[in-house]
Amino acid sequence: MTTMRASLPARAARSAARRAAALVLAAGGLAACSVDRINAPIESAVTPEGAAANPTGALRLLATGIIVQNRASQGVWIRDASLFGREAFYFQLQDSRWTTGYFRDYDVNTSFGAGGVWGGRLANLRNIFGFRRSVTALETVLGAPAASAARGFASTEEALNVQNLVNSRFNLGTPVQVDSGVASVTPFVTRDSAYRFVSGTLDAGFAQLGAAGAAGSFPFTLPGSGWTGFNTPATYGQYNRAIKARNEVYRGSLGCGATCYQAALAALGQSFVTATLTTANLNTGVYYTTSTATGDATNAIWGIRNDLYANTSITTDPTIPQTDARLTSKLATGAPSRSQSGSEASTIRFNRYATNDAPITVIDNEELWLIRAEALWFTGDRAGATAALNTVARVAGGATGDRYTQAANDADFVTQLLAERRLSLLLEGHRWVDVRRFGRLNTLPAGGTGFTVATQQVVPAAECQARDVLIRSGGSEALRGPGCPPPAQ
Amino acid sequence: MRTRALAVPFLLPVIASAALAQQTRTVTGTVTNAATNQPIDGITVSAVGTQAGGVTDAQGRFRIVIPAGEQTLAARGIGYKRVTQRVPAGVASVSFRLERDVLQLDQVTVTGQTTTLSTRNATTAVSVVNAEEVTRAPAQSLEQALQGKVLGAKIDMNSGAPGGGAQIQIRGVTSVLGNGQPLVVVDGVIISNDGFSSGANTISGAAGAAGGSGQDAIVNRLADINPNEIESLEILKSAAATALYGSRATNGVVVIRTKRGTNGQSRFNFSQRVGTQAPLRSLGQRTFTSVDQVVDLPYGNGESGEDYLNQAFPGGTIPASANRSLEDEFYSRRTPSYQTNGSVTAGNDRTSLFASGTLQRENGLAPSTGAQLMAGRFNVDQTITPRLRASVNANVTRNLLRRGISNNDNTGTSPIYNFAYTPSLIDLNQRDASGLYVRNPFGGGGNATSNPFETFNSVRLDETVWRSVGGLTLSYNAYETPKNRVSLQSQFGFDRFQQDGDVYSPGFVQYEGNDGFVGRATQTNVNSQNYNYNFNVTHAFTPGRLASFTTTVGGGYEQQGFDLSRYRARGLLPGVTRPQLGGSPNLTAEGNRELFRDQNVTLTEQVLAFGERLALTGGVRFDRSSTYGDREKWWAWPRLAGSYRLDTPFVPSLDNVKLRASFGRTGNRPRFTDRFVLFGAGGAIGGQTSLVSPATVNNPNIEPERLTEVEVGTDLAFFKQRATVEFSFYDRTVRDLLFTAPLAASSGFAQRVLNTGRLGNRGFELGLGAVPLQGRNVTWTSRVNITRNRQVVDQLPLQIPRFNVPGSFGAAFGRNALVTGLQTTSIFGSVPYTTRLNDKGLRVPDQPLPVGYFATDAKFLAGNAVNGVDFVVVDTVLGNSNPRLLTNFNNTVSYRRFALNFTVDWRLGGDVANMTHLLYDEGGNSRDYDNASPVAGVPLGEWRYNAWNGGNDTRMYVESGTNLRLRDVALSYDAPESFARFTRARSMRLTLQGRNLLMRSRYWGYDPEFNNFGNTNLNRFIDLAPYPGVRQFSLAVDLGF
Repeated sequence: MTTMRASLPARAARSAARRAAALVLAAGGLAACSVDRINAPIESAVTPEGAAANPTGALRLLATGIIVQNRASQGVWIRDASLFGREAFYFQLQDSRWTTGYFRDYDVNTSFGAGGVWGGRLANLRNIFGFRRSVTALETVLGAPAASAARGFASTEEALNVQNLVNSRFNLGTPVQVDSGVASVTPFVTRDSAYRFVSGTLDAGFAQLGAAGAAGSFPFTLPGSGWTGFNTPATYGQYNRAIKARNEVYRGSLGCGATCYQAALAALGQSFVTATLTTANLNTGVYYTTSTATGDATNAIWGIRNDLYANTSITTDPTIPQTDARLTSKLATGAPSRSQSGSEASTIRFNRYATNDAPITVIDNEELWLIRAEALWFTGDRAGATAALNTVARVAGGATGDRYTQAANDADFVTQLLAERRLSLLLEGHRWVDVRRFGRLNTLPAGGTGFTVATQQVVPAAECQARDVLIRSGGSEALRGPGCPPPAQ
Repeated sequence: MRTRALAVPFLLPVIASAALAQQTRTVTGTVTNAATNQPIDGITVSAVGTQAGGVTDAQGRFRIVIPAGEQTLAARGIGYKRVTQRVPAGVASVSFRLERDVLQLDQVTVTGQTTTLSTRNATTAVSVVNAEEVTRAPAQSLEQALQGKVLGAKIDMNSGAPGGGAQIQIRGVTSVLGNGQPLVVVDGVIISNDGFSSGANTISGAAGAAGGSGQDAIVNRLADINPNEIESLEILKSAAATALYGSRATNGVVVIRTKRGTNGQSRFNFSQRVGTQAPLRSLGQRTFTSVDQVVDLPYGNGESGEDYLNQAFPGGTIPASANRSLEDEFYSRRTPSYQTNGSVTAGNDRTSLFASGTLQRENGLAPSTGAQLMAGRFNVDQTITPRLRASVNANVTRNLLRRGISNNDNTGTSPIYNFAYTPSLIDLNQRDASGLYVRNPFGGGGNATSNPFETFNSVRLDETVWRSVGGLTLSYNAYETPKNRVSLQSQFGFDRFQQDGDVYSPGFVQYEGNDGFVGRATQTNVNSQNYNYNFNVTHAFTPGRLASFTTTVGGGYEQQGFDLSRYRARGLLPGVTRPQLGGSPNLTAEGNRELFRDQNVTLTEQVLAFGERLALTGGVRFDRSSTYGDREKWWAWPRLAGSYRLDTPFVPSLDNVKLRASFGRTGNRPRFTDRFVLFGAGGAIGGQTSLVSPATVNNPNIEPERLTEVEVGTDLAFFKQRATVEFSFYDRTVRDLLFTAPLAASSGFAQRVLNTGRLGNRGFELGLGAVPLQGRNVTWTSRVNITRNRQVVDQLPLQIPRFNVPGSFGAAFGRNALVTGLQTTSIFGSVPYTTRLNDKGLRVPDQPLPVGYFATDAKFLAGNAVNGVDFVVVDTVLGNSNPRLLTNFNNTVSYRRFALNFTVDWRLGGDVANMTHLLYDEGGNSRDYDNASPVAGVPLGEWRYNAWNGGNDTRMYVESGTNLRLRDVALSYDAPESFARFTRARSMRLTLQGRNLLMRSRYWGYDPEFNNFGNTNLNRFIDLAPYPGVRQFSLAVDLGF
């Protein structure tokens, strides 16, 4: 290369370049310091300001959020309860703790099954807390009837969540509400108080729904076809009463007795239970729909269908008629034999959720008929109870004639009831709760060497520890979690 | 929006042009290599204590203007020892003879945006690595090339998968949840070292049904840097050095300078490297002798596996010859890897340029895996006017990675995971009559498992990155006299890359259909845009011989951001290999956008006094960031460091002693979302979208975490600089940690973002250098680096519940947890304690429990009888993932035309949760399964697995990672010129190279430095079915024209 000789024009250009450079530098330096340049908004998440732009729209989204969260929790609950209640084994090749965690180590607060049906349900109580605040803020916009309808929805869904929490933590009790403070918590309440809270909240919700008026409507749309027939305050009220009836038979079997069973019958009367049971109305009820649509979730139990094996006791239990239509439709025999970590082997999988978009039942007419049978028996109408059981066996199970004669005593009736409930509600999260409330956990098979049956899920270690520090930094001793091991030293 | 301007102090108008006339004279001369008498170009010759200086040309000539009177001239350049010479008033010509600086005593360290300092005056510990060291042997990424060469840094590869993925930890971990990566600056451009999944989770399902996850063997984007373009690399460790980068520098800064042209003859260099690869280690497998052995295993009894075995071995006995090694067969690819590099350097007194092009292909051990890097660089320096200089850098890279599936999975598709449960009794690398690969009958069979041969040969898992990094620097010498110099510098740099992740799994592959969908594809697009701008005014003032002062005032603006979108389709229509909107039964989409904006003002002062024996550097940076809760608040990051060098200490054979001490404060800014109060996205149901409460309660008042460091050290040179000792001790305290404190789930939230707690981080660095042999023909240079670092939780508030660091698999496998007084790297896990009844009739552990334990057993007081033994499970410390000592040995022996370089790396301690071992035991397939165990009649593998007991005794699989290994070796031969001339080249060098050749360790798995979760601040000790470590060999030819 040759060196360029500086000519006059080149010198002028150089001086111009110098001035331009100095200007660019100075301008750049100043521009770099303006305040505007330091803002960086978040554009892929919803801020409170963003939600405030359309508050009624946000309320609709929050209502849907409560249902979405319930669906997720229900999937977890069905899986966990099926293991604890010995309906199923979860033989996941990649992780044997799906067996040991549920069948053996369930009392360890860090065990694999310790956290189920906890965070999700409690987070939904927080969702409901936020939803109620939004309703209050929008009271005048919505008008009193719609606001009351929204509150009735919140109360009903809140009760459903607490019912599931106490079903899982049973004798340990459960917190039944979230505190207004971010970091603070409410104490555990006992099992019976929690079930009583559920009933009370359902009653409050029913009243709020009623205040919306017979022709009232929700200020949001209940999502999906699972709410068909239950999507106005009046019809949703029938769903509220169905959950109430379920809660009252729980209480009835846990010591409350006839009083609660009477309440169950009263609630049934206002629910959607039918006078006659047919194959057409058998499964009328409320569902969480699942789907493969973008953003939606597929059926969680279907997702683990290849590893979820049935406990073979259902095929050997003498109280279970092997010809029952529910057995053949809900079980899939002939799977490759599997076992894990000392468990019994099985060759039966489930067909209860046959497709990846199968809906998850919340409560249906079939369960209400079984609730009716139970409530009738324990309020003295033994014939009516037996007739109801026989109806379910005939319509749902394909039994010809009457499967049951009237039982000689309560224990025998409970055996009949549990057999029908086991078949009708298979893989819907009921078996463990049902045998437990009738004191029959000891009838569940252990399922393998060194296994025992859990009475309840423990309180997860993180919850224990978080409560422990709240107490140590000045909180009430009443906040301590029951069943929590001694705190860290 | 308000717009406020901040006045940048401008000195320039005041002292613009009126140059004071001073007496000067011109000195010319030459610089030659003392050993070879060859001229050396690129050597800086300057008058000590003044601003005067120049650079030698290709003939080693220089010409500088210096003040009148007697002056001391110094000549220095990278790779040579500095030499000074007194030049009396009348002398106009000088020659310098420079010796090779084999111990690297004279290098340049960064002290400010525009200022540097010779390492002999450095006020802080300095680690500089030069070009030769990073290109000595083939490397999967720059990090691998640096392993064993940086005092004070722990560098780990995340796996052996081609293309890199590695972590550099400088002086330990200083953040729990904030960014843990060092800041990387290339020629003044702050580049992104983020890593984004390209969607492997679509197939592995490691994180459930999602497109991408942190377990996808993610490659951090330092992988796009081409080591061939690097001139030198400096690692800033001390906070007193990194404070220059304010709130982005707690993890240290890697400052890379690329090669540049020099004034002189143009040169063309060409190098070709060809090699191959082999596994560093094999896990091996169990030798089965009977069908029953398999059938009796928890996972061997799948019906399809049993059927296959009964058919293959009807007698029930399995001959030794039927046992194969699926692992060895799978990781058997030896296809040659290569690298071709050509570069040009040229220049005259106005323009100099460097251009290079590289094409590199690294083939992986597993079928269809590999990495291909194409990189081009063009660096130009132009003197526009004698005062105005411009430097332009431009770099374009295309990096194509095919890394296959590795690490954790939930679908039986990760090969090592799969082989753990698949007895090597079937040839999976074959096709049946229909042309499909045979089905794997084991591990449950059907679509619950996979045939890795089929998977790797059928699926597409491509990650393509196009990246351009460039910059423009303008420097203007506004004013210059022998006593004063004022210069302005404006520096702009950008880094932009587009990452395209392309995953396609055809419907016929064995595992397809398990989730109800047949055929899947995921497309990931990441668009990352980063730029930074700095403006600085530097005033150098030399009032006399006694001292010189350099003051820099400046400001800057930085912006980083990325957009990520990912589409995953399941259930593909025939012939479709990309997600298509509307055409697939199941389509999910996710997106994320983050944007960071920072402003800063810096002030730097550098003083050299007493014949450059005393050096002081100090400064303060003020910055504010869009990530701070208060975006308008300026944070100050001060630093002060000093050194004093004693050139003639009173100890014989001790040449000089330098004492140094420094103080600095740096920060780590919050994550993008930390300051935003947000709703959570609940997902859809029945066609309706939803909002929910967030799991994490963010913090609108979030502040940066702040690290304060005090460092003291000394540098000694002995025996005419043939031996050196470098020692540094540092004590770092990190306050107001970015922390997601757990909340009780019954609050309805999972955690909240806080600034809280204090970490301590203490350690020392000892570097020993020696030239044990230095003769006419032979030189042996040796360097030993010893590093020790401990990170302790000094304090966590009582109100913070026990914090298990996220990113592990829970107590059953070990995890880091933060407990006041314990090391952050302590591994907590389950330990069973036997119990006794105490005098109150309560059942208690029969030995005292260690500090930091947490009982996790609700039956703590009742005891838990398992196998007849009462025990309680306690969550307690059972290991430490931090090695006790990191030691490297770097040696160079040259004999005549031969040179041998090698790096030995010894890590003492550092425990690893070896879940791979657990898988192999659970699958009944570990190589030592049938060895004797403490219980007679129970094979070792079964005993270990039973003792682990579903996670009740984590200790069974927490193993020591102590290892000694040969990181790299290069044996080179400089051919005589006569030989080189055959190829018309001026010079020719032949090199035999090896990387990762040997490892001695009792560790059971592939490599104790691998980590399932990739780059993580803590929990970096989880070995779970990684891609095996690779040994690379190659032959290189370098030609100079």
